[in-house]
Amino acid sequence: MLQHLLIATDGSPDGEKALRQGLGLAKTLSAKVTVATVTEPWTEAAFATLPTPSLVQIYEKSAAGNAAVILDRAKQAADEAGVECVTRHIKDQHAPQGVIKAAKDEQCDLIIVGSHGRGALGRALLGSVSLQVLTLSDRAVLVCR
Amino acid sequence: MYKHILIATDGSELAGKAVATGFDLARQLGAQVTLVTVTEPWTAFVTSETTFGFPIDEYEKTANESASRILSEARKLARKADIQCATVHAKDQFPAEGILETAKANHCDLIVMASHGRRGLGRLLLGSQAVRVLTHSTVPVLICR
Repeated sequence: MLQHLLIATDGSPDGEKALRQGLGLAKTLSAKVTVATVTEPWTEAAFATLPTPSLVQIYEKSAAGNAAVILDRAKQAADEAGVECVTRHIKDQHAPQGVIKAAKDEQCDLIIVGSHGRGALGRALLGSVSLQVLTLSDRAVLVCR
Repeated sequence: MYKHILIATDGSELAGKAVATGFDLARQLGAQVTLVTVTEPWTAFVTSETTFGFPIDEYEKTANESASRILSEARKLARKADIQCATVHAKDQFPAEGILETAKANHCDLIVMASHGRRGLGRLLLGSQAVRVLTHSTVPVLICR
């Protein structure tokens, strides 16, 4: 029986689909929900020629800001749906690893993701992050479309 | 929420998990269930041991028998779980295609299946048919482990 769902969203349209379906499912199942969004580590290599320390701070601030926007919206949607929900910002992780770690830490029994995120290859039939979550997860995964 | 769940099974232990999860979900969501098992076309089945003395009609008889055994096991579980379910034997198809076509033909809005089937390469982190279903499905897919 599913009791604790992890919904992963990056705020993209498919991520929002995962959020909506996840909340709908949680409501019907009376399950609780953790909504997680992952921000990736600062990629030094791309900016190697720039004086990085201040840029790292700028990056981290904007990552935290973006995550907060996504998670606040998610929390609001959960409240409106009447679903018990906590939110987690997973910092400095590659998206699939971050999602899997969050599911493990929170002891969720189902991970819900969209089929595509914000990544560049929208034309791919299944997004790389979703595929990696599916591949590496030791628990059930629902891919929303 | 989901109204018609397609559960795919090949009778393996892991597929049993998908069946159980699908039934649980169906009961809680009040959804209709269709169970599908797929048998492959004869030509796809040829291995060095089976090439000789294994005519098509005999293969088809075996395939039908094994499918009806799998489906009647599943129907038994459904009765136990108090679930109404239809069963489909998709013949002469590769598993992923059979699953996708059955989902489409029955207007299912969720597919539930296991991460791996009966075939070899269990060491793969995600089975080939699961990847194919995930890649081509237009409806959400729940992968059980």
